[in-house]
Amino acid sequence: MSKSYMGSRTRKKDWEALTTGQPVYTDDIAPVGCLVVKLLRSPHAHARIQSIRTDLAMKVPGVVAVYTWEDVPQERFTLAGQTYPEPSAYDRLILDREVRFVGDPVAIVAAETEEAADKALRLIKVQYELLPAVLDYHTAKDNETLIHPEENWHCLCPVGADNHRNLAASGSCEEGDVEKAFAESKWVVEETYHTKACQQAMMETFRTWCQMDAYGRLTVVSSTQIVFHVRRILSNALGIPKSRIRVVKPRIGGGFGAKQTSVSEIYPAFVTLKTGRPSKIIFSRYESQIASSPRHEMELRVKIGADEAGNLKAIEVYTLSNTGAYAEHGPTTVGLSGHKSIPLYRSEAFRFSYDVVYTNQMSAGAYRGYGATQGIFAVESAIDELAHKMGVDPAALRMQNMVRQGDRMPAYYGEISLSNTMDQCLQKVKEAIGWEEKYPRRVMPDGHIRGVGLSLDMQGSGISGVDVGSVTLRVSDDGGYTMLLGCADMGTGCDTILAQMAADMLNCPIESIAVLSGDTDASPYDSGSYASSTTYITGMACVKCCKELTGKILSYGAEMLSCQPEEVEFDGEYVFKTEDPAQKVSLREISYKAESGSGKALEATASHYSPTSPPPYMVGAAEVDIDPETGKLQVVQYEAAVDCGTVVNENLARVQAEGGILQGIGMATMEDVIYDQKGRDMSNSFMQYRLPTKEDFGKIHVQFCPSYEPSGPFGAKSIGEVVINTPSPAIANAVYNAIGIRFRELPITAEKILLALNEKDGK
Amino acid sequence: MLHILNYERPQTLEEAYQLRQKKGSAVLGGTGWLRLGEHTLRTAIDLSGLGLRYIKDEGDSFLLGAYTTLRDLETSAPLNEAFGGAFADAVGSIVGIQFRNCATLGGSLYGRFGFSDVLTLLLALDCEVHLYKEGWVPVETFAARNGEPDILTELRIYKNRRVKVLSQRLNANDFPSVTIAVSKGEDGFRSVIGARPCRAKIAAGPEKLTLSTAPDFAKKAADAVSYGNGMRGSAPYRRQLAEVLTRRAALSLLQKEAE
Amino acid sequence: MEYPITFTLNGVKRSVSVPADRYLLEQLREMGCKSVKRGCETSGCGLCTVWMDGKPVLSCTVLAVRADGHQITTLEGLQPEAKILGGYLADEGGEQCGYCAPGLMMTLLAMEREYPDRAPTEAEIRHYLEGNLCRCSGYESHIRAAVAYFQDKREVK
Repeated sequence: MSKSYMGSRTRKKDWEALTTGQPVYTDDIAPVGCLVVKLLRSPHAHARIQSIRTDLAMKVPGVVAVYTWEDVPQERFTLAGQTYPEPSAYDRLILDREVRFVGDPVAIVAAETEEAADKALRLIKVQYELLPAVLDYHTAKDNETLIHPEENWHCLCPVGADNHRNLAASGSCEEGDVEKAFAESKWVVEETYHTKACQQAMMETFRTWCQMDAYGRLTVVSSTQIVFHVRRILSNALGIPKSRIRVVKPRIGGGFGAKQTSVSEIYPAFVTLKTGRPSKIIFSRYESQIASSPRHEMELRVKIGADEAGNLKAIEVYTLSNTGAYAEHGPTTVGLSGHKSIPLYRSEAFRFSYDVVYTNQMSAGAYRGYGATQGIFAVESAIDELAHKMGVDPAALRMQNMVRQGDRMPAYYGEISLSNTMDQCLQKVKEAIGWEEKYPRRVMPDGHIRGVGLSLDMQGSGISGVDVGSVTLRVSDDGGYTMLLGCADMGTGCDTILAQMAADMLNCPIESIAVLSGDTDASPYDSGSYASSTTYITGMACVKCCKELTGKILSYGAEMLSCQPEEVEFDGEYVFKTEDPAQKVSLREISYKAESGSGKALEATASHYSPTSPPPYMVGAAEVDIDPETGKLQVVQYEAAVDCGTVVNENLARVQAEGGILQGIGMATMEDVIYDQKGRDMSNSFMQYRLPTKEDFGKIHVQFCPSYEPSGPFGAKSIGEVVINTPSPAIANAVYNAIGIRFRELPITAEKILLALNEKDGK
Repeated sequence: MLHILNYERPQTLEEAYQLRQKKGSAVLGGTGWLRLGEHTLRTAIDLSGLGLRYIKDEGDSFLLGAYTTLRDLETSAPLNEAFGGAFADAVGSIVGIQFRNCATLGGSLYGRFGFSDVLTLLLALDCEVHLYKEGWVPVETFAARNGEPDILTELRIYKNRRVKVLSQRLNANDFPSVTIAVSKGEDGFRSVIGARPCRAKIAAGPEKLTLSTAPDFAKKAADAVSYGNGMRGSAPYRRQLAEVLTRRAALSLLQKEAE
Repeated sequence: MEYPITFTLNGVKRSVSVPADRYLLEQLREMGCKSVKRGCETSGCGLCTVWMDGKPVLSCTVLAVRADGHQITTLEGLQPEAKILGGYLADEGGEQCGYCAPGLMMTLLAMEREYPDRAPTEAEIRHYLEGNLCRCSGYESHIRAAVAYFQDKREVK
């Protein structure tokens, strides 16, 4: 009766509000009269506060409070938005006596106006005892300078963390006889790759406002991906029960993982709890650049061996990850650097080991790709190096060895690849980029050199056995539905995608599904939107919930028709007798009945988790144009093919892919968090940290090769993260194919290319 | 953060000049870069009431008001026809349309910013800057000085040279790693190199060139100025770019001439 | 010190007093124009784009005192047009988080006025929108939407 929304190009449910500029974001809806909260930040990479004088600051007219380390609870916690017990160590205080990076908060100021707050910041006098800083992550492990020597540092999970060794995590795993496999390999490559920290750089910076509600509870309105985790984090940080905290997420201006860390919430929450007054913090772009949650810088040593016939024998990855001053997402991101790169290929044996170290730099966090991006850059570069060493086409080597549907993936926790069209993806991408004609290089009439390169790619769909998604559906009395969600639409469109699923399941127009998401008081529990979980995990909860609600609708309808539920069907509008469709009762009538003398709630809640995390797969190919005289690199064409299982919304899937690819191109060619010798982040604005514009690439083109994932809703897997991983290796491989120079460090800038060309030419 | 204590919008140039004599005064341009850094202006002088936004064709030259925007330079048909599109080329990569709708010619000149594509282009042309009290000053003289307490009112650009600008940037609308201009007049070729990262300078010329001597000219020009290290490039990188881009610009002018 | 200024905001004459160093962005948000967003502090993202006398400018770098005597337009003043153009963007899924959308809309609608006789080319669109950063979309959907919008508009004309 109703059309199917699966695979459609349905507009996002919030499109009109967003495109006409309605006030739907955190700051737009903040109460008038919020105290302005600002932070004094450490100018030193590592120091101990000897004294803080706040009396002068307190005298500034309009200043309401100045808080220092002496005013805050002394129980440590983590800001990582992860399911309890969090793998990230409890190493934070709201304000600490020891400051661990340039930008670490030293004092919180709350004032009636921004001007007063700024003035107060200038009048706080701090005396620091400078401590030696660990600024080179290679020297962090077992350094005599400890970043977290404190007694009450603790870690809830056995992740190999040791604060007396500056380790936020360490470990290893393997399967098969790695040494034997390498010994039997005719071809072996072993190289080290380096990926830098990158900023998510979502357009809306971190921001939160808080107020006390009528019941004396703390209401927190924040731009976050993780309302339920924020509630727990605040409970830990403030030492108050979760029942006293409500966290609400309005529309949010982008996240990409940045807002999977509770970067801004604790400060106004503390102020409002202390003063009883509404308060608000808006991070400046500067603060969002220097004190946030960027991608973990990683160094990866990769060793790959192949036999004479080109069959991979073993893959070994060692990752050194720089988590910065705090452990947020350190133990988990590193896992993906091996577990989502090694399983791209069949091999007899693998080994993956890692160390995650503390340093005196900004704490890293969760950024789209979450370690897989770094791992795949390394492994997919190494595979190309192997192919060149062997003298074979890197595309052919990939086709020969890639993981296929039905394969067990030892390095992916032994999961079976149940849905996998990566071979088709590779074929499609080769055709689209013109691999046969263009590989490896072409010299253009203007002297520029063009090269093509490609990369395989996988991610996961949620965290297996951990992530929980839930959906509540209520029938409203006009026969429509209200869908309550705890996941976070950060622009991706998951509110719409889940409504599409519900509309298909309930056989109704999508307009009949009203969505409310991201409110810990109203939403059913959801881990939040991260780890590529929402479509797959919450989507399945949606399917379950619709089934359950349909059962109730059938049962109530049957009762009204004086028959058994087995005797009736529901077509989206009416419950009718199968035998005699003329005997029917409308959903509207059923809902009115449920509201009057019924005692039955016409609603359902369903939760879902998955024991597996089916990988989406992807292949990306870049054609780069290099001006050999200036080193200037331009990605002139980017071709991608994605297997995200069933495509739920073609538009939204395509834009996920295009957006992820351009972020990846940015990472590969320009984005770089640069510190000076004193540990100051020099990439502290959009002037210094460059983001790709519309004129920085030629064309990005995306195709889909849908598989059908049996454990996913309507056969769907994830797409949000897998899309960022291919550009770095594909571009590095294309650059090699163009000019014969291998870049093992990102970003690959014109300057690096030109200097390398000079060296090659003996200049 | 920027603090402005007094804001003035004078009705005459004389009034503006008198305000400019006050300590801590400055003329507002497009204010695009004004907010960067921490500073206090005692008196901000807004010249927008003085009718200084114009591009007049005076036959052998153009007369441009100080409040002409970079976007005006980009879209002015007569200006770009006279100089082979060089003005559109020079400003087209500066941040974005919105920025260029505010940024002024006078601000770009008076600021004498190291990264200025505009200053680089103008040094390659025969131009004069008009200061209210001092009168006409050759742009080269003006570019080498600093912060005179005068009012920049207009700029005269003679049509006697053809010019080509080139630059290299980390991405499309970044500040340049190097920006260069080469021009040709009756006296021969002139090379200007900017964003070294210091302020643009005439590096070589005037000199007559042929297709075969252009590379040597570019090398000589690139060697004639100094370079520094910064986030947008090391000194050797900048020097190498300066030579390549200067050679290309010179060759491009020579080839166009041959056509 | 505060300065009295009078300007036309979305067609309505408004008189306010502003400090000399207040930027138009803050002033407009305070006056209820919440479509105007801040994305950076360095004049580089295009989120705060409004029109001054019909031309797109960065409200984060224009001093509010300089609005005196001018026409200021925000997306609040262009609602019917925004909805039509917004539909094109939504048909590509290109609005995504929506935070850059008002600035993008203001720039595209300004561009439309600069090309009264013809639809701009894709290259012209890319160049005109260069100063409008977006981190979600990868821009391709913005370009597709803009091309379709201008084509349709031109056909109607």
